[in-house]
Amino acid sequence: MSENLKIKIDGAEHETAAGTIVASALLNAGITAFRTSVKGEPRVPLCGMGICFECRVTIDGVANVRSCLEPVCDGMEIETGG
Amino acid sequence: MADRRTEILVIGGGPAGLAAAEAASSHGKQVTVIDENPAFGGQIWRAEKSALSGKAKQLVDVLEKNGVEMIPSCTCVASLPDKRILAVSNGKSFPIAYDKVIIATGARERFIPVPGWTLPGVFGAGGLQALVKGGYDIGGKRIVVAGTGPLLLAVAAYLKKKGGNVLVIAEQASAKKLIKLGLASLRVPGKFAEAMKLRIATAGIRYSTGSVVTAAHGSNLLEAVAVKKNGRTSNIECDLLAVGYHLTGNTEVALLLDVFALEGTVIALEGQKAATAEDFLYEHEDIYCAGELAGIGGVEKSLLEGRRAGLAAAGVEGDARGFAAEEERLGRFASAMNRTFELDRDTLLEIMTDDTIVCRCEDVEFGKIKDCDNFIKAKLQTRIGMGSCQGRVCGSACEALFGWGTNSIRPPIVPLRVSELANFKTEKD
Ligand SMILES: Cc1cc2nc3c(=O)[nH]c(=O)nc-3n(C[C@H](O)[C@H](O)[C@H](O)COP(=O)(O)OP(=O)(O)OC[C@H]3O[C@@H](n4cnc5c(N)ncnc54)[C@H](O)[C@@H]3O)c2cc1C
Ligand code: FES
Repeated sequence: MSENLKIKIDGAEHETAAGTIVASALLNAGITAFRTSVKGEPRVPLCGMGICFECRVTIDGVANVRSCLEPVCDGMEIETGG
Repeated sequence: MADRRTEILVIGGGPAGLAAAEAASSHGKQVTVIDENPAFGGQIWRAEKSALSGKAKQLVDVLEKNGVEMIPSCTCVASLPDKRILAVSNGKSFPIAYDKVIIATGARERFIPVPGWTLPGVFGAGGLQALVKGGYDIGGKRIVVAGTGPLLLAVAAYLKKKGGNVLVIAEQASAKKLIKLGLASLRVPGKFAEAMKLRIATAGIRYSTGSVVTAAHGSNLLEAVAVKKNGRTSNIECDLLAVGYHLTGNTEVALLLDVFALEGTVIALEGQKAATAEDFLYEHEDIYCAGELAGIGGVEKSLLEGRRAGLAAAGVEGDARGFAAEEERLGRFASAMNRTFELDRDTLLEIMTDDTIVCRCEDVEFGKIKDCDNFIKAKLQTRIGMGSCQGRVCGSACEALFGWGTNSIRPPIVPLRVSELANFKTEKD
C-alpha cells in the first residue's frame, strides 16, 4: 500500500502516508493552533479548500502557506502557531 | 521568455471546467486548464489523497489524449491587458494569453458566524469532508453536522463511512420546505434516487429539521454545540462541528474580467438582470462562465454548462444550441433547491452577540459593525474584509446578515509574496 513519509512539525518528527494534505497531517498530529489570530486566539482550518486562509503555516521556511492546498513531501518541515 | 499562450483557457478544473475542456479540445482547439488545487476534479470529485476515479478520471484521460495542457496548483490571481491573466504556481508567477477564456471557478461554502465558531474543532461541513479526504483521521470522533443544504447529507454519509460518530444532522430548513423539494426532485430523473441513496447512507443518524446552531462552546477546544429547535435549545457534547450554509459562487475571477456578480452569482451584463437558467452562460468579449459560479445547481448542471461553454468557445454553435430543454429542467430544480435552503435573516440576527467574531482574518466582532450602513463603511471603520481572505468568508456572511452587497475585489485576489512576483516578466518588459 501507500508508503510513509517523514515530516517535521514544529521540530518533532512524524510519519504520514504519501498523498496526505498538510492540513490533514497537522490535525492528525493534534495541532490545535495552525496560526494565532490578531487577538491571540488559536485557529485551525475552516474551509479545507483554499478560501478562508485559517490554515496558514510556514512550510520549508516559506511563511503563510495555505496548508489545505499542499500535499506532504518527504522531509517537509512545518512550523505552526505564527 | 515568451508568454504562455493558448486558444482556450479554462480557469477551474471541476466538472464544469473539465467538461468545457473536453468539448473544446474534441473539436480541435488548443486548450489549457488551470486549477488552484493540487488535483483536478473540483469539489464533488475531490479524491481521497488525490487519486482520481470514475467520471473524473475518464474526463482527465480524454483531456490527456487530446493534448490539453493541465496545470495543477495554479491560481489565476489577476487580469492583465491584452487578453491575459496572471497565474501563480509553485512560487512563480507568469501571464497566460488566451483567445477565449472559460471561467469555471465553482462555489464555496457559505459560512455564518455563531458565538464560538472560531474554536478549534469547528469546521465547514464540506471543509471537514475535504480535510478527511486529505487524510484527516476522524475515527470515533463525535460529530455534529449542521447548517443547511443538500451538502449536509453527503458530508454526513461520508464522515460516517470514514468512522466518524455522526450524532445528528441539524438542518435549518423546515420539514415542510424539504418535503416540497422532495416532490420537485421527482421531476428530475436521478435526483430523487440520489436523495434516497444519501438518506440510506445516513440511516441511523437523526435528521433534525428546523434546527439552528446557536453557539459552539468550549474553553480552548470545542466541547459542545447548542442547537435550537421549536424555541428550545439543547446542548450536544461533541468533538467536531461541521457547519456550512449552502454554497455561494467563487465569483472573484469573473469580477476581475469585469463580469458582474450579485449575491454570489455571476449575472449577464445586459440589463443586469438576476441569474436565471438562460443567463448562466455569460458570453461577452470571448468570456464564458460555466458551473456553480453561474448559479448553484449540482454536478449535472455544471457538466452541461461546461460542455455548452466549451462548444461555444470552440465555435461549434449548432451543437451548443441543443441544450435548452435540459437546461430549463435543471435550472428549475436549482431554483427550487436554492429557495428551500434560503436563510431567514431574523433567525440569524437573533443568534449573534456583540462579541461574535464575523471577520476571522481581522477579528472584527458583530457589535463593531452592526450599526454600519454598508460593507464599505464597515470596512473603513473596522478593517472587516481586509485580511488575507479578502472578505470571502465575512462578505457572504454580511450579505446574509445585513443584505450588504460586497461586490468588490482587489487584484491579486490571493496575497502574493514578493518572491512570487520577482520573476514576473512579459514580452513587453
Ligand atoms: C466544499 C464543497 C464540497 C462539495 N461536496 C459535494 C459532494 O460531496 N457531492 C455533491 O454532489 N456536490 C458537492 N458539492 C457541490 C459541487 O460544488 C458541485 O456538485 C460541483 O463540484 C460543481 O462543479 P463546478 O465545476 O461548477 O465547480 P467546482 O467543483 O467547485 O470546481 C471549481 C474549481 O475551480 C478551482 N478554482 C477556483 N478559483 C480558482 C482560481 N482563481 N484559479 C484557479 N482555479 C480556481 C477550484 O480549485 C475548483 O477545483 C460541494 C461543494 C463544495 C463547495
Ligand atoms: S482551510 Fe481554508 S484556506 Fe485552507
